[in-house]
Amino acid sequence: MAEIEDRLAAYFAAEYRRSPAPAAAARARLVGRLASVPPPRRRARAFAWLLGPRVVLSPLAGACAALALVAIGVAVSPTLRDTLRVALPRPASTPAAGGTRVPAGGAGSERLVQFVLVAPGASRVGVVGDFNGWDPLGSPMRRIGDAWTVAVPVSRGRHVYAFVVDGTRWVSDPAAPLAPEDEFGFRKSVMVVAGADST
Amino acid sequence: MNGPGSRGRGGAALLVGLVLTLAPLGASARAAEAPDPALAGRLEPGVAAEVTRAVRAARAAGLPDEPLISTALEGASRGATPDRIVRAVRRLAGELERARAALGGRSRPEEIVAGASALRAGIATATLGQLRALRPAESVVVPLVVYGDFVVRRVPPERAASAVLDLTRAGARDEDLIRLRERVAQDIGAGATPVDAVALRTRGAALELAARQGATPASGGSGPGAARVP
Amino acid sequence: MTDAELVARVLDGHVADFALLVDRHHADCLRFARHLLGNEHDAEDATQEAFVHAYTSLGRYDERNLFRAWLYRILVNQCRTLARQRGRRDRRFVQDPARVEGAEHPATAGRDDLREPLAAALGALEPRMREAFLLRYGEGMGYAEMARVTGSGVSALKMRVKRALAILRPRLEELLGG
Repeated sequence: MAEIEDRLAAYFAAEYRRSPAPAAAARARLVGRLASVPPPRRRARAFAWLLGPRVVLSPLAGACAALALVAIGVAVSPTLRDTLRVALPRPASTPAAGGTRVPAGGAGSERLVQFVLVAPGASRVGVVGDFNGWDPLGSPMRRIGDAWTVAVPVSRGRHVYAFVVDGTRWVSDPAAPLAPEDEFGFRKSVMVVAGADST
Repeated sequence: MNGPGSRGRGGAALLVGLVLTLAPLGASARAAEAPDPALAGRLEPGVAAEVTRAVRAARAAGLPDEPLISTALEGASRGATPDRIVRAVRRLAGELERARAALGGRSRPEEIVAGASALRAGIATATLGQLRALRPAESVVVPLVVYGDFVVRRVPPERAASAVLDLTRAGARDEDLIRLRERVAQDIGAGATPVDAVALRTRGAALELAARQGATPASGGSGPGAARVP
Repeated sequence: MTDAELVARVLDGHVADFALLVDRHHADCLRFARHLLGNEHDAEDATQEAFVHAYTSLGRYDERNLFRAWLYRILVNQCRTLARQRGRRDRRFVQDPARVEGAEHPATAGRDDLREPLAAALGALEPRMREAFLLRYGEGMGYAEMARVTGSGVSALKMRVKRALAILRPRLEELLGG
């Protein structure tokens, strides 16, 4: 048993180390930022332990962290569900199975839209669209049974989007209108989010 | 690190190293050539520059620029070649301009975007004009989205256009058009030909509209005295 | 030169030497943050904040302790803060396309497809478990160092790592076998 776990752990460690090296750009941005930061000063050693960075672990921190990480597929314990129902604003409409015009409501120019895709065989699903820069990692969906879901705030207007399954397969929303533009060899879905001043 | 730069006191030392290594251009030149921030890091510099040019031109012309950026980012996510991305952006820029011309300069940005998409699906600019005339103040986005969807599902463009125009003329609201689209999509999915599906469901929608308005579709009148269609 | 020696030089005024500490640790920190947060630009934000914080509070670092543990403690805190903020932000704001700037992108960067299923599997872990697992098997830290980084006790950490491995096991076996 321990031997199998060692193999798996070693495999993970190898894969982890193989993840792509970060772009030099990130490093350059850091160095650029540091250039504008006042240089550090030595403090009296005797008090160093008092002033060291503290790990803040208030009882609330764990719950908040778990709440915040729901969007990236963290399993939610039963005790947090009620918290989530309160914390996540309910969409004005029923879940947009796709293509449904999300009605206006409230003064804000954004609506929280719930994306749903039934994909029982998937291990990972995300939504990509013009509201998140088509970033496959931008809006990871959470699995509930056979369905995957995420709620994303989207500004009013016409939006195009798609789902990315298992990181590589782009699928349109089966319940939504299709967009005629397919310049990248792929059929997107369309969603219309109404704002306060439209009918 | 690209060389530690001059060693010395203060953060200025770090800054000098960075500036020498990364920023050979003067400040103003850098600003002029800087790609749109949404694109930097996602596209190769050459492509980012081309797209940024298109974006700036659109902005200057008062056209929506976000769809251009979004198209470029979509292409980047799909791993498209630089050529393809630039072509797609330029094509869209042209369509946005035509859509605005057809829909009128006071159209909302999302209407222009929807119009561009409909042009891609073969809508006649005249049809855009007719739609605008039918809904001078109300948004034309949904009718255009429905049109586009029909065409993607292989409804001939003219049939798709007539369906949408006729219903809009009959007073269809966005919800009616959305429902129509869903039914047509379902029917096609169940094996109906696109033409039949649209014909059937448009007729059905017209009847529903008439019933709601208390008049026959032909008369276009409304009021309690008008004949009811069964 | 050890990390502690470099820190001493920076505090003596050789400020540019901090860049050497960046050289040593930035890539690892970014990779860790990326696996922990599951999001490239958040990972860059958290890592950048961590290094800036480390730089400004360098005077508080006690050279008797491992620099890496001290740095990772700051990093873990930043990641936790960002995750909390992201939870709130995502509910209110559109994800700004401008923030995608600089993200490591599959199409333009050399993407390792094997990374993706792993990211999904990691995402299924409860955050503290994911932290512990990544510190142990990603960064290869010992439990004593992990305790200093996370502020949790050694036995709690061992339990989290064990449970994480149990949860990840089917996925890892699948990847190993496939």
